[in-house]
Amino acid sequence: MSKQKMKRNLGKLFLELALFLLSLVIIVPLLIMLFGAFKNSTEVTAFDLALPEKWLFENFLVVFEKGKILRTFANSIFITAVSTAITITVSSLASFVLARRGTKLSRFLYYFFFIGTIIPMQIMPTIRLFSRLNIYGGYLNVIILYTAINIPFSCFLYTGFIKGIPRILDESAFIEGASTLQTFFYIIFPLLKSCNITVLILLFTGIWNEINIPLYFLNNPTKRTLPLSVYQFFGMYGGSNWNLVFADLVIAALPIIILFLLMQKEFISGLTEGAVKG
Amino acid sequence: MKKRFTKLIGISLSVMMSVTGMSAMAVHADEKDVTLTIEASQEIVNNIPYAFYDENIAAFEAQYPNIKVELVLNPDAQNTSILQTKLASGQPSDLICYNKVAAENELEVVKNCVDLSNEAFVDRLENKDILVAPDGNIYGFAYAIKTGGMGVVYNKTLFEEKGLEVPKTYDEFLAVCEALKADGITPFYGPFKDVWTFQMWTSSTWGYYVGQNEPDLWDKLNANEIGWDEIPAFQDSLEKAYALYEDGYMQETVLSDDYNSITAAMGSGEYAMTVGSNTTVRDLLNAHENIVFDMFPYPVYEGEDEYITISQLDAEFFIPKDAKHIDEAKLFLDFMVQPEQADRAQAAASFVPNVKGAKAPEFDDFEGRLYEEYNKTGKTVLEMNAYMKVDLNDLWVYFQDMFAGAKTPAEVLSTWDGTFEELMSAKGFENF
Amino acid sequence: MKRKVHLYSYWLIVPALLIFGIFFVFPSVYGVYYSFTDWTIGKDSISFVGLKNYISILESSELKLAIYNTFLYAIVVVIGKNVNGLLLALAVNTDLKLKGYFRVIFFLPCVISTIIIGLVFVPILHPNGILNVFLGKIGLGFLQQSWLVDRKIVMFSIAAVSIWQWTGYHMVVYLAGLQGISTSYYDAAKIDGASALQRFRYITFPMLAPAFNINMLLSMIGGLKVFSEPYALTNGGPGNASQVIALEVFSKFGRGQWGLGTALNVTLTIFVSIICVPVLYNMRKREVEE
Repeated sequence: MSKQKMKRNLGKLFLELALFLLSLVIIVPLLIMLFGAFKNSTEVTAFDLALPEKWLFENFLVVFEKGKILRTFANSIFITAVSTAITITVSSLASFVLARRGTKLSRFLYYFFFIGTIIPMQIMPTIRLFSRLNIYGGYLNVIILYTAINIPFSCFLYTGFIKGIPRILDESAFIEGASTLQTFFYIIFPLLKSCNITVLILLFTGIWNEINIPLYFLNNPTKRTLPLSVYQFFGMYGGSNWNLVFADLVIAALPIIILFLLMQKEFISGLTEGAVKG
Repeated sequence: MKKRFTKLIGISLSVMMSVTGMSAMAVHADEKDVTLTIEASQEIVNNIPYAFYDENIAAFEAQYPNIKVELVLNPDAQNTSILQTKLASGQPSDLICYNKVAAENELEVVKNCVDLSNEAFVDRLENKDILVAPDGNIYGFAYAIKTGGMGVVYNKTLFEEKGLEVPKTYDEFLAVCEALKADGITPFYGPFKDVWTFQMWTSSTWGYYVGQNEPDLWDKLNANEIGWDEIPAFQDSLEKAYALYEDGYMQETVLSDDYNSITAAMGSGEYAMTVGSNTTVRDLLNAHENIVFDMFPYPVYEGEDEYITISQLDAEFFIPKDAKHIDEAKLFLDFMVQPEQADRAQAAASFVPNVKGAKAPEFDDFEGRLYEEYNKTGKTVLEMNAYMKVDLNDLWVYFQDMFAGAKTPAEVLSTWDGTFEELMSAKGFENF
Repeated sequence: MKRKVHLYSYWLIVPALLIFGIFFVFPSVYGVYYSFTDWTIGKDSISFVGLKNYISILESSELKLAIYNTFLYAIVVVIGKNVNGLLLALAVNTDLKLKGYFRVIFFLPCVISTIIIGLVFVPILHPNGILNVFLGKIGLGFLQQSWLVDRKIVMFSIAAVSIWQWTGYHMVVYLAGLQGISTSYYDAAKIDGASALQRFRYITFPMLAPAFNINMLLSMIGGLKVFSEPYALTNGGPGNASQVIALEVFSKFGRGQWGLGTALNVTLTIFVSIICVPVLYNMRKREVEE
């Protein structure tokens, strides 16, 4: 082995080690939360990395019972899945045109959508609008709202991604007699797979973790979402039982972490392909 | 190819339809059975358990099978904002539970809620005067006639171990602090990361000072006849509190520790006293079986040791004018103002019921002593907050500034004087 | 072409445009009107007051501090997230054994709610918390701070937590940029005898421009609109030391000062637009030129 090569290998080993230590900075706080969820109420107040003396799985049982976790979990899945599905459908369709047309109007519309990532939502006029339309308070108004809020960034990503797909593909399909919708669904949409996964993960995490809209726009506690239980448990047990608070945090964060881990390969490659071309 | 396309359209259509279908179902269910919503903060439900007792609600639902009661709980920090927003946009819950004076100031109950003065249940109240709003009408019902109190919460077991007496004057208080400190115990635990905790000190001590020495001072402040920075006694109380921190009688981390942390801190034996109310003591007693906790009045001013502070009436139920089910909400209040219901709620926590013919509470040692010694004999003063007409949050923020070293006690009062004027004038009070 | 139908029919935009326009843009623009009124919870009627709310923003030392904090925070997170994100991307773009693990771990915090992150970090950053204890143990006791209480550093502590959470996101975007660079450039440069630093300066850096622009844009918007991080960590405290604009909007709304709160919201929008729209415009323009 040449000296140079050895030096390079040594450098790589060093880099690997340094990155590993750095990754501990990310992992340690998450482990504090995870271990804390299994501790008893006195142990947990140290907020340290010590392993639980005894792994108390019953903490999670208490949380499941008190937090009505199953009910709120179902609500979260329903609201998040439907909002994400609608957002992906309408955004990818719109982006197809935004990316392909070079007219003034399409450029204006691109900026118009982009402005949506900047302007803040105004809660009260929005509530009034939904009340007028007689849909305030239920699942529907929350789903519509999440869709409306997430269209801008989704369009931003889709437009960038679609630009990277050669025009010749859709033009040849069109010449062969496919309609616009057919061209989109058969030619473009399959090519968007990694971008779809990227948008899916970003939307799913964003909507799942959002906790203000359900507070203002759901009028019945049986419709509330899982992450809201974080407030409930902090309020109820932030003094006496931090272990239960941590157990609830773990439950609230786990579904989304699992989703990410399952799809991380496609997700990271999708983001890398799409985002940069925006 | 065509088939797949139709399938896709079909899927998206069915998704859309199931969404609308489900919400339509929800609306339909609402029409058949009334869902009566009660909205409150997490904190009030934890602290006033008798007002939200499961079995009382179950009894109501049993009597009115077509009505279902649901509690809408808000995170404490967002509760006011959510309630105000819903009231202002005409979409409130059917009942709101909030502290009386705070509701008058922050939720504008006079403007936003239903006048209940002529309801039948009013005649069944033991004391209806305490529910009267500034305009002379009654807008709600609270289960309890306010008892209990606020003061210095202390570890009685520790005091007895160290042979310490409950201090009656400020000098005695300092002597106790010094003795504890010499023993390696931090005398006073300040949980001031939460903005509302230190104000228990001022609301109590200022309340005592005004009640005993200048009973018309609140009126004068509310009429802008005197400024907050022109009352030396107020500054004195602030300086005494700040001195405790400066002299190392409080932990250094007062601004890092919140109210929730009291349970663990006071149970550790490293601290001897803290701020709080009878609820704080009750929670501590429940959490630590082997330690006795108790409470004594703030020893800031001469003679204060004989008076415990009581807070404004808490957990009053109001019916917003825009509520969807006003009649059912009235039924709910009417149902709860009955001796049977008040008696049942005693199982959740003891309280003095505001219902004629209801049985007297069976207090435990601690709350019984408070009741006998102060509430029954009238040795109480009403906290400052009960006299205020504006939101006090800014003042509380300035208290934090004081502990962070950004404002002196005098600056706290002069800054607040300016803010107070702005708030009063924004509300349209005269002389501002 | 015979057909009149355009391949890229504008009809495809209509669903997105309607939902976005009606349920987001319309109420938001409608809300702007309130910023010119004295709407508060105590008032029976709303009256037009012109620019009064905007003037009182400029006059209030509390709100000026919030504006200052917002910009300070935005600058710190933009630099922190981009520098760290780029360095990490360069590092995990080499053929390390654990590179898959690193990419996943560094991205992981992005999928967790900021409220949860906040609840975990408050005890960690407590003066007696694990961070200070750790610093003491490794002999760096002089670095111990009251992270969330000291008025001088509280904004930096909040920014650090945000950098902790979001660096992985920016790393992935930079990684994308790096992977888009053909290795032939590097090979050619190596033949010409360019040093590693020169290769970075003359190849990597210019080729990363699109990723750089996107990351700047996103971190800037996120930084200026910051709400969850200070809300979860300090709620603006101690006192008003860590107030930011979006948090002030929230607290004004919480006290029924809706006119003023809306004016503050509009001010924030103007700030973000002035800074971010030109960046986006440049990005698009360069693309057209390409």
